[in-house]
Amino acid sequence: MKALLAAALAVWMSSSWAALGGAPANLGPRVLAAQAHTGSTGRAPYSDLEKKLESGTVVHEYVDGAGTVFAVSWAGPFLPDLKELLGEHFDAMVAHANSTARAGRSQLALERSDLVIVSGGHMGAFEGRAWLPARLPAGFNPGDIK
Amino acid sequence: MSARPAGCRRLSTPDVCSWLALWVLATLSGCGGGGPAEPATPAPVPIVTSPAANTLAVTLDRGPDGTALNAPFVSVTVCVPGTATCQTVDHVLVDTGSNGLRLVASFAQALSLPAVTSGALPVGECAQFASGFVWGSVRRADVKLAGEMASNIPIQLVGERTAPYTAVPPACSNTGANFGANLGVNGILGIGLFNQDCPGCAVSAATGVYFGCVASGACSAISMPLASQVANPVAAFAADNNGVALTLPDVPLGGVSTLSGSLTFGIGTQSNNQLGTATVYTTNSQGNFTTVYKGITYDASFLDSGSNGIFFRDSIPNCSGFYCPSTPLSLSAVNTSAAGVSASVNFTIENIQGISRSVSAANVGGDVGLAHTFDWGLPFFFGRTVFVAFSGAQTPKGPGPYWAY
Repeated sequence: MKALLAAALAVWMSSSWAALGGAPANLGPRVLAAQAHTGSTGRAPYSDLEKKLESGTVVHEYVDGAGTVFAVSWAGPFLPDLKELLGEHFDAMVAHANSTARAGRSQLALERSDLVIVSGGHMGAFEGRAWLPARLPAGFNPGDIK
Repeated sequence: MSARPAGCRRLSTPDVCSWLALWVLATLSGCGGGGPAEPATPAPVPIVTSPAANTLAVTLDRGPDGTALNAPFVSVTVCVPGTATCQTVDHVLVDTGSNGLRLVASFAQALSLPAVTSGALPVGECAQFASGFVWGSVRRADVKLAGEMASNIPIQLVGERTAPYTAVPPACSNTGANFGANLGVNGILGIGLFNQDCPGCAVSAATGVYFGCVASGACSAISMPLASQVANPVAAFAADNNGVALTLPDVPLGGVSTLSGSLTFGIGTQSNNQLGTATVYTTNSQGNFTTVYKGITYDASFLDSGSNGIFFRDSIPNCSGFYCPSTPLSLSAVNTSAAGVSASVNFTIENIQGISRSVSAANVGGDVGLAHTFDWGLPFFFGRTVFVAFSGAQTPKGPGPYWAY
């Protein structure tokens, strides 16, 4: 799987913008770990790019064999640059947040057939994830997102 | 529905109850979910050592825009520091999930509160919440809550449109939705576990929270010393400053249209804020403990009066973000503190679609869909007194941060 990992990293290194649905995002972080998951019976290979941002928040990007990010997650004391991480799907998250009840809105759960974005936690400790259901590699379960 | 005053439900001594009942009657504040307060039985009124009233009335209603559900509101008075020039703002949300006072700017604009500066630059703040952010200026004010005051502390004015705070910096707007002044509340009173709102900002500008703004309106990320950060007002009181206790009555199935409770300042500092038999749940440095629900461990669990439901993973039918089971569900989870103290919690989730539009308090929840988060929102507080002990503060049952209930 080294070839896949190298391909994913090469795409990430050269990417400017894209993120979810495209190449990995340019968040200006250092890569903590890049782990390739080999395909097995019924499971397609993918890579998990783990990045620790300068703010202390850790971001994961899940990249398929073609170099496309099909899922992302974040956890830590501060929200990451979600516009960069979610790419073209950022606007859908903002629109959803603005459409829900106002007082006491403490979390966000956008669940469409083509896009899922969930965000929760509290000031100083956030957690979120997003994925494209139609782009998940064979055998990949959203529960596999760290 | 009990007709007893709400504030007495979990306080142990009859004297305290009677005192609270008298206080409630004296302030003409209804109690017990809209029902009349029971006349106080004759009993000696305990001597309160401080002349300062340390209890603030909490009310749940439909809020400023008529859509609020499970939003506990208080009134807050802010003043130009050291003066009697003040403004009282109602419908400020009591939030144990954040730290510091934030007011929609239009309610305090007339005061022209002095700006907090970094170097010579006025400071703006991007306060992050899980569902979006608020942007605005950081200013100093005297903050009065009931009979107590935090002198000259930094607060945030949200949605301020005057220079140099006019433009939201990209580092802020790229984190989510801008709630601006459209919060559905007139402010947020963050009385969570911590004394300031961004410990990490004291050492790094990479957090994207504090910004120095030049006159033209360009704001650049900066680090911010703790003393200049937006501060938890209660922790800045001269007394009763080690924590708070939020007390709300039980809420029956179907919900209630109004609910009255209390926010009491201090823990174990006066006769009306004793811990009694409450169990202490210490947290980790992020303010979280652990909840086990249906065999799954959630290690980012917290008590959040600013969440309008209990949000946790389940396969219960979901209707637009809230669970909609066909019949009310009696559920149970086990909370474990950072120190290993553990006990179960029973809670109820009913169908959001069965809740009338006139209801302001109900036992509802939803699926946050996350692997670590269990968000004990406002319904957890119904029928309880929940203590919030501030980080580093001493209390009769040890130092904060901890929750106790």
